[in-house]
Amino acid sequence: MTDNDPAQVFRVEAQELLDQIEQALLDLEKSPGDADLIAQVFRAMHTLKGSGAMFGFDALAGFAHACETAFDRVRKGLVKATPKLIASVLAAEDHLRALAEGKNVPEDEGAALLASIEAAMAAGSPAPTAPEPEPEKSWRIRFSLARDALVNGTRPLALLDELRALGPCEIAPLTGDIPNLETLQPTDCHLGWDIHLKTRHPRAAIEEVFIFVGDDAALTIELVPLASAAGHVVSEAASPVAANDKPAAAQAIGYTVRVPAERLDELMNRVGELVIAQSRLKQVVAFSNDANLHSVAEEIERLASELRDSMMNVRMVPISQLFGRFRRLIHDLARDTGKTIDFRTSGETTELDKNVIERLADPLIHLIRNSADHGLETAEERRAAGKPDAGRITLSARQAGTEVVISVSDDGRGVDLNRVRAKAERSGLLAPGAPTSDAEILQLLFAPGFSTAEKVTNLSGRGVGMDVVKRTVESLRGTIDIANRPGSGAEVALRLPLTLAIIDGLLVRIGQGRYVIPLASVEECVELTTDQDQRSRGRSFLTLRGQLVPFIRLRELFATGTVPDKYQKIVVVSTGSERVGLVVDQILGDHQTVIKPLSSFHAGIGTFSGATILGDGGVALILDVPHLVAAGQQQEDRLRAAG
Amino acid sequence: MHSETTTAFRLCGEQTVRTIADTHSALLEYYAAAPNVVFDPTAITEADLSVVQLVESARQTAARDGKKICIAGPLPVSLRDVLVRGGFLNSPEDALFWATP
Repeated sequence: MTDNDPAQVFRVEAQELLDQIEQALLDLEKSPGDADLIAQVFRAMHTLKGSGAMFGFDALAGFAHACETAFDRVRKGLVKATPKLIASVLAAEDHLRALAEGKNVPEDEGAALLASIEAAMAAGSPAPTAPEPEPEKSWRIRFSLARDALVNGTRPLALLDELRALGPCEIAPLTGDIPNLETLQPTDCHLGWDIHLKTRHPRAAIEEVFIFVGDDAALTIELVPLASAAGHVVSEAASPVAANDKPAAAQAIGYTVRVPAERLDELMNRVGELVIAQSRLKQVVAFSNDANLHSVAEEIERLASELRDSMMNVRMVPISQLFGRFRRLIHDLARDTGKTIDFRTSGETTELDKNVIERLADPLIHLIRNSADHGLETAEERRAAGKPDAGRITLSARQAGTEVVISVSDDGRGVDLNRVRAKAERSGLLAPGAPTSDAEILQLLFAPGFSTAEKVTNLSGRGVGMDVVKRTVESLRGTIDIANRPGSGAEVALRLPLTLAIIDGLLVRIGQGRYVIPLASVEECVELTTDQDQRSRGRSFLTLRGQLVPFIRLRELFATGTVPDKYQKIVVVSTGSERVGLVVDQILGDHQTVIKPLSSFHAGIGTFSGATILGDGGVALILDVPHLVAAGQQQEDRLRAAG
Repeated sequence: MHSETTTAFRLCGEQTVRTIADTHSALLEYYAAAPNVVFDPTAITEADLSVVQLVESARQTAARDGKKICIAGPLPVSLRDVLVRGGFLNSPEDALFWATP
């Protein structure tokens, strides 16, 4: 694919339009009479049809035309937007997606879908309260097209035909701008029209006629008093709209630039290389006494840092992009399970690295399915438990420091720990009767192949999923927790780093090796004196402001075989409420860390989350703080259990 | 493209944006040589707004140069359709120019 591939350009546009249609249809389910939503679906279908035809997606254009026609009838109040019709159009939308993606779609599928829409429309009896017809108004419309309008396929006569369809028109061509024969460019369009239209349709219907005329066209639509002399324009009510003078919202769109994701990745890689080169420069300059060189190096360091931050911002996208997709999922789940689901979202404006968002879609789909299938009870069960019939699933996001916490919670039955334990014992994951905490039992849900579902449904219960969810989240350097409220529901929280590309790190030395600790996790650094080191042997606890903090001697963990430095340091790191000290030989300083993934051979090593290249060309491994904190906590638990 | 007589410029076959550049070139030659301008549209099989625009341009140029200009012969269906839909026959003056041989 190239950036200029017209088919790809259309596919991107089609996806956006189909997303708009889907969201509007889902909203319409809740407010079936909302004229704005109906118009939104109609307009998006209309645009999809026009663009599809323009780019040669004829099958898609034809199908969109049928859907548009259906919604035109809804728009005109001839048919009600019933749940059945909305469901049929949603299914048609899936078909349109497949056509846009160029998938092989069985020919009879489209026909069946259209028949389903027809049936839904026939069943949707004429709307009992047809909208009040608007009073007839008189409009003066002047338009002239872009110079290349005739060449690029714009059909001015079709626009005039559409205006005639709205009501009686007086059409006067404007020929004054046509050049003389000698200077005429005969393929350019120099024509314009002045039209007086009487119609009961709203202004929006007139504007819709000109959807495709492009930004270079000039269009004014003015209201004229019916009784007044022709040409007298009401100045107060008039709000002329020139196609190149779009409202603020449309103009805001004009300030955004669509960039292929791979270009962003490429740019990010270049910034990463720049940061590494800058790091090398800093190291070289450290040995120089040249003040000018120091000054330039500092300037470059500042610029590289700012460029990095700007680049990070560019990659951040609001999580609403992801959340929006799940409304359709909930709609389908409610249909498949027969449960009424009240789906709520919060924190949609929270931003996250685009790569993280892309990879979160599947895990979240699985968690939401689990909530709908296992978590929520049937309406009868809920009634018996004194709960409202509709089960609630809440998807929320919030930023916490350098992490984003995304949670899926429900007000269902919660996780039945006894069932989990019984299942784990049956499948050999747990020794019968072994003492286990509730938290440990919940962790069993993430074991490969574990499922408590009694029967396999097409939603869940196949024993795959939660382990994959956990692996995906961990591969994003995130963590996953379950909070269980038996009888009242459960909450699965994913904690994820804001970005995957570059982090601020603390460079430390352990033995001869250098390592990076993500600075966001570092709480403080304290010295471990030789005396303290010897006294703490066997216990590895540090008392920090009255609190016991376990610590790990990384030199021993990594088996460096070196003697400890005289003045070792403890870097205290935390993940939320849990913290642990990491004993290092030396703290070298802060370091902008461009994260490089470990090779597939080393992907299973939990202690490290990646590697980075240092200024001198050496490699430093990046410590996986959540993993080390968990190890520290286990050490604490063992020691406490041992008394 | 040139008329069979010395006075009429014959528009024939497809007269659309795809072919209008050739017609324009031929018309420029014809216009330079002709004391008055006569269009014969009877052989047009396909027309769009570009040919209407070309004739309107000739109409304005002829008015500037003091030449007489007219349409000779009945309008073919395709051209009439463009003129009707585009509103070019709505004013008496225009209707007189286009529709009266």
